[in-house]
Amino acid sequence: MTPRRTRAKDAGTVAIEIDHSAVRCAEGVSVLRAAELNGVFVPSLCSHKDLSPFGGCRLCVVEIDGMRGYPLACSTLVQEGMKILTDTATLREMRQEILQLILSEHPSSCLVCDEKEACRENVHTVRKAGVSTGCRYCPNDGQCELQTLAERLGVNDIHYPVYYRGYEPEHDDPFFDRDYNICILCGRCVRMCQEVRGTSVLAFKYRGSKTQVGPAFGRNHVEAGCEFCGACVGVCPTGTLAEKASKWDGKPDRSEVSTCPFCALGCQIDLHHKAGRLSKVHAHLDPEINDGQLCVRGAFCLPEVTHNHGRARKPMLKRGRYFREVSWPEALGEVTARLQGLKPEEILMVVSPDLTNESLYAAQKFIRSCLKSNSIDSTARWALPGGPGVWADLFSLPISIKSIAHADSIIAVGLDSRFSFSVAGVEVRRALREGATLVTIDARYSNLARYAKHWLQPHPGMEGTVLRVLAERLVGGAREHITRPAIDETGIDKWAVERATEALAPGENLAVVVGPTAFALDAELDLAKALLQLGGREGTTVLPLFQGANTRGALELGVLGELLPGLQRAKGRRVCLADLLEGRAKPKVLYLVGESPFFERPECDFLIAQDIYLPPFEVDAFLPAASFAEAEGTLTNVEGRVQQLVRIEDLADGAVTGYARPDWFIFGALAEKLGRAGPQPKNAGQILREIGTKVAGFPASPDRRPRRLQLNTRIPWEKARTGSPASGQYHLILEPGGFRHRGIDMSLAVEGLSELALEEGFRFHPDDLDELGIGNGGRVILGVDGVEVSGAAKADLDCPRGTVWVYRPFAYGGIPQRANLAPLYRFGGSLLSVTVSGPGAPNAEGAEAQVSAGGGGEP
Amino acid sequence: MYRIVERRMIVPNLHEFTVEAPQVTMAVRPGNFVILRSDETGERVPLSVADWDPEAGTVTSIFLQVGGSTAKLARLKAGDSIPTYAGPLGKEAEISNFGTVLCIGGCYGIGSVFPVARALHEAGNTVYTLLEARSQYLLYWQEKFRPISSRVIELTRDGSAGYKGHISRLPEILTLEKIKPDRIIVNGCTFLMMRTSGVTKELGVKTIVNMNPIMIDGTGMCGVCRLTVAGKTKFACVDGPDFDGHEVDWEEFLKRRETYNVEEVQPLRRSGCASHY
Repeated sequence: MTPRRTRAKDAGTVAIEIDHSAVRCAEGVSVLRAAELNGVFVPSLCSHKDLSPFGGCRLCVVEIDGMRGYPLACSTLVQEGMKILTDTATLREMRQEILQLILSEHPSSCLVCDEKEACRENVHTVRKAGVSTGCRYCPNDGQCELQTLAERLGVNDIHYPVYYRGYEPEHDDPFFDRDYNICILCGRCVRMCQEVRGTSVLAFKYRGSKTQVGPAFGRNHVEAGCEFCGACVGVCPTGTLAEKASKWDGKPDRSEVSTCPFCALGCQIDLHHKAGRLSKVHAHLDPEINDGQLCVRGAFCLPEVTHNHGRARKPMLKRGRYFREVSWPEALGEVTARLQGLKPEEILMVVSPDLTNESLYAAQKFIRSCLKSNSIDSTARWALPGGPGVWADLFSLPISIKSIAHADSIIAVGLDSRFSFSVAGVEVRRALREGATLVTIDARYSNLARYAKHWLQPHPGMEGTVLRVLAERLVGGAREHITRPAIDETGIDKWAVERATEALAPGENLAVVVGPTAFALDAELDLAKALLQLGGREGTTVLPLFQGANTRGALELGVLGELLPGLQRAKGRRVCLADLLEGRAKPKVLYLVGESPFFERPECDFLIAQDIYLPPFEVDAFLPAASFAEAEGTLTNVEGRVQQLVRIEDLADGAVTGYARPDWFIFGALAEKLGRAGPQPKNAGQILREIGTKVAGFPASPDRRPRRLQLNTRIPWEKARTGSPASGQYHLILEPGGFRHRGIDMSLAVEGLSELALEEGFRFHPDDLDELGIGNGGRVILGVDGVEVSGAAKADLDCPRGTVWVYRPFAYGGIPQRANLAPLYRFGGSLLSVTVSGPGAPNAEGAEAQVSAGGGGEP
Repeated sequence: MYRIVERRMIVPNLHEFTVEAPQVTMAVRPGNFVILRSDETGERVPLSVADWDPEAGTVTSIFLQVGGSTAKLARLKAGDSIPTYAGPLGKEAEISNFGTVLCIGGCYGIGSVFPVARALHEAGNTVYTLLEARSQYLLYWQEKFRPISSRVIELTRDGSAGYKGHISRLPEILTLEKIKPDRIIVNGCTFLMMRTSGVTKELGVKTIVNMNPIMIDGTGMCGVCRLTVAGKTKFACVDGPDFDGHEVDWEEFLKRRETYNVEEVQPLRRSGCASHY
């Protein structure tokens, strides 16, 4: 089942000789790796530590005693007593010759130019070319493996005829450009895509001198199922694959290891910066979580989110009719004046689950000790369907991302890992390569279904029931037994369940991954029950996924009004977000911290927004917050690791770097102005130390160890939700989606994300559309509970019949064009029955979105 | 609006760009340039004129894609239109019978030196053409130069066509080719023009360079294209673009071209498809 572990157990070491010095190395490694581990340089352009040997560049030729010819170090395994020579005159000559052959097909005139040094000094302005015709015109100049190797091997002339392939460079996919004229066909990208990512989007096309890399059958990358994870860009030794947004930044000055601030996996990233500015992001080779892999957000979106021209960087106040930039003292003065003398229920602070632990803690401390209120809430609540009680229990299970790769049996529920939680998908496929069995439970086709031994396709919302059935078969001992009628209701053939159980049962190590959509639709909390049941089985790891980078931190650090830090019950009157949205409360002051869960300005006397972008509605005061690149802090990932965010950009008071401040710093400054608190924290570390002393089980300094939540008293689960109030012939599924970060949808700041165009339209199975007589792109009207909403229909083969699939953005901030869907969002995550009609129906009016009832309600 | 008759990449990164502009065709002379914009919110881009057809009323330029605005131009197709096409601008090249003239072109300058060479040929000069590029696949228009030149010499950095090396080999090439020029005209990148002026100063041959500063209006109003020639401030748009290469303050000129290095990258820092060519 798991050959990897068997290998590790039997692995010994062998004695070999490299360049006349005796060394020992692990059995089963390649000669190249053995040399590398012993500090001996053997040139290579196609090898990579994560990839299988390819023997494509042939630069790693060595001489081995007793072997004929010149074997390749990358594809020859070490053997006891092997005598290897890596640097003889013949080898040097051969390598020079081989490199010249490679360079004869690679625009390398700059490499052999005798004026290259003078040119480098003078030609500053002619970079940024569309096509690389030499090193000075190449985005990879100064950071190119080919360049380095040519220098190291002393190649400064090419005796072979120069050949330029003349392909059209490919710019028509988002995020990265491709110029296969400078490709050396090392195949790293192809192997990365196949072997590590398991997606096989890239392949070698055509043959001989016409060989080229790309998706087969002339498709573009979007069509071919590319995840835009950037792994291929990361391993490209040349400038063939270049990230659009940073390709002309040049070689970065330095890099720091930080944590990706975009989701709860908490991938480790290398932030490359130049001249004090975040330039690009590479995956960090961190064996604990992502091991060199990322998703589209982590790989490509960080610089654009923090540097977009739309960033709001100065404090602003409403002055009469105008909204003006003001100084910090003026803004703080106005805000504190408004906060003075408020009753506890006259204020509501809404906090984003993307904030750092320090800022979350400071926010609740500010509300509770300075304003003596409990009126603090967070959209973390929406990310955790079922309520804090359910998730506190789930977080006390053994959650481990890296264990997925070592699992023998995997169940993936409601997870499409193409653009979200990609790293979890990569881990699943890693396990599959080692022989694991995958069963997916998903109403809709997912990118993992293609690898599944069995895809159980229940009716939408029934995933939990199916998982409970499986849990019962695999573990047994449930308090409530799932009855046969319940299985029949799911719409799955009972034999399919049997077969899936048979496939999963032999696995010693079981991993269960559940995506956010499944949780959102699971009205009966069956998923949580099943996970708790499975989590009790030895050798099981679970991975419940949710939106928000620090949602777990939000739960633990008390930004949900009813819970104090450490999940203790809070006492005292409070207003919550639902009260505001449902019109039960109208706070005098609304304080939005990195969050704008509204399409329109909610009712309140004074609205404070503290974020990195302005909300899409009018506010009275804006306090510019520092982004992830400009403030240090920690984030708690799904496993409970408290991981560091590293500050790489300075926040000096200057016209360029702006006036943004870390969120915790703003709360401190306000508390000081209110005169109601002791000494203010000077840095994030000080707050984390305080958290460490006040919150049981929370570390006082960044701690990357996974942490199971320790509960002293169990928090009661909220009641199961009731189903749809209306009845109709279609199931409406509002999938929690979107690329949220703090108060905005990132696709507003990151052009490439908006070009993926994932979120538009009501998705129907094409046969349903035919039946309705509506064409792809035609207008449909959905009716539910007296509310009618219209929008464009989109044919989507992945949709099951009888369902309408709509992305429900997690953060509404900044996507006003979706405001017409607000009445739907009001119904929250539960499964709805809706009626569907075409524009020919009598109550259809005009082409624009019409809402006949429900107003601008929110979930 | 000016209709684009053709836009094609003739060699990697260099685009041949032909626009219907009959009023420009009527007055254009060798050495002139035009100023155009790719769209109504676009930046003004000066382009040297490389050829024109009085009958069809079209003007051809060669441009190098080097940044945001030229990337936009490079996405245009035949049949598209551009809102601005102002010209001819700048002084025309000095054309008379000098005797033997060596025309040197590199990069976009191969195109822009062509009308000058043709006019010099028509004025009775013996014209030699030297085309410079980093590799053979970056050379173009040799067949256009052959009828008007006594000889077309190629010079490539990697030796893939003609002589191998850089313009610093010029004295040696002149000896080998037995050419004694009375005047040398260079069009191309700043580095090429600067280096050529350096070597021809020692040879004592008058060298005319076609300057390519940052330029905005092209009519002498803004002064952005200023440069120092023989100790005096000149505006490349109205006093040039041709100047004596031995009199140009190259160091200052190169510095001025770097003024907007940081800003020039800004429009390209985007991940969408349309942000790049």
